[in-house]
Amino acid sequence: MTSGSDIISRAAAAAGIGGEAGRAVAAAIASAIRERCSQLDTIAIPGFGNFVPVKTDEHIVAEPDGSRVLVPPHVALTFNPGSMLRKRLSANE
Amino acid sequence: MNSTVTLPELSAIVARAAATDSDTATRFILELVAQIESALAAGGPAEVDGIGVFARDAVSGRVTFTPDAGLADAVNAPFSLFEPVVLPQSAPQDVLDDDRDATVAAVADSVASEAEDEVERAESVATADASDAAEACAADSDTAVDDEAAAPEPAPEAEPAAHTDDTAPSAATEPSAPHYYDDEYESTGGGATLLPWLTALLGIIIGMGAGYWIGTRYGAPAVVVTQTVQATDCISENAAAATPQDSDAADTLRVVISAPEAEQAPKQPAKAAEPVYDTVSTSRFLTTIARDHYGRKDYWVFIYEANTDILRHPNRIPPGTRVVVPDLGDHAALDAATRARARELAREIYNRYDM
Repeated sequence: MTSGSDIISRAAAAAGIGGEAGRAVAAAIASAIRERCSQLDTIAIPGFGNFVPVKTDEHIVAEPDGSRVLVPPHVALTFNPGSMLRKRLSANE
Repeated sequence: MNSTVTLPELSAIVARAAATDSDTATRFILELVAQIESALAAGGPAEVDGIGVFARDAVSGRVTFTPDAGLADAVNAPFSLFEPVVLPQSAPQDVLDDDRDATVAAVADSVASEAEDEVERAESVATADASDAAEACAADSDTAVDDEAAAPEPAPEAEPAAHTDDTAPSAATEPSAPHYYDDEYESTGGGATLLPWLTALLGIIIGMGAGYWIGTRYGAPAVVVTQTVQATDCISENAAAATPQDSDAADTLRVVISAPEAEQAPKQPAKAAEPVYDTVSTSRFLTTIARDHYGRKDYWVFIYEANTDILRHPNRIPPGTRVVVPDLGDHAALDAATRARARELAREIYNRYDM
């Protein structure tokens, strides 16, 4: 598994910036995703995919023991890979 | 909200937050994406600090994403205060079918349980106070024999308290909220069932009242006529019955019945002597008046001849003209001579104005 710090340092080196600046930019990316997805906005990166927050309303779930649980509403962050990414990954197989 | 953030917008946001330029932010984002893609292409997951883990399913080859815990919590921050609630087993199914009703039921259950806790706490406190008071009074009764009347009072208070303390667990074991919902639904269903019947009953009462009012207002003359006819029938029957038995009474009845006829007889010539008037209108001409009074419309000439002082052309009589309708007598019946005379008069009248 490629660790987060390795990917960030390699991306920073490829982008021509230092490791410290790369970590700052990566933190800024995470902050931007957090801020905009909290407002249910979608972040689209061409050639890669979309970060989509999905809101689920409250619902009742039946447990295996027969009890019923009222699940509150919640928002989950999902990632939809783009078609170009899927094609490239399929081509590499 | 519900908008899409494009790469330039994201780069601008990142550049502003990281104190760098947009090109650098864009370049770094694209390089980060390329590194993630290469890691996925190598078959391993790619973890990015603060964002999450990108992985690829070994079987289907799909790309999965597990957000970072901090990022997931931040995105779900508006709903982080809610927690799953286990619903009671005795909740009605129809209440559980609707999420909103289920939410209301859950809130009602929680409120009911809190109220029961409060009641139990209050009862326990009351029981403790009552037992303390009973003990104090018992001690007082032991020490002071003169206050015998005060001794029996704590005992009844302590007994109901103990009784309620005994019944409290049974009441707590029985769910009160479902009974509340059942009663509510039963009462609602009963009201919905009774409403059409009450409406129909009200309509029947109103209809009967309207019928009675119409009958009393417009049906009264018919009743009077019926009674009059019955009275006349009774008189005639009495007269017929009296005829063979009592000739004097029959003569009296004949006199009584014939008296009005004798009184009306001299009045008829007086009425015949009075002139009859009629008025010409836009829809009532001399021919119409003649047909109404004589039975033939070509007898209009007699009306015209009786009103030559006020009439000119027979086809140009102004509406509102009041004319005298002469009495033609019995000879005006339908004899051929009268009809021929009427036709001759009509020719003469028109000849006067055609010159």
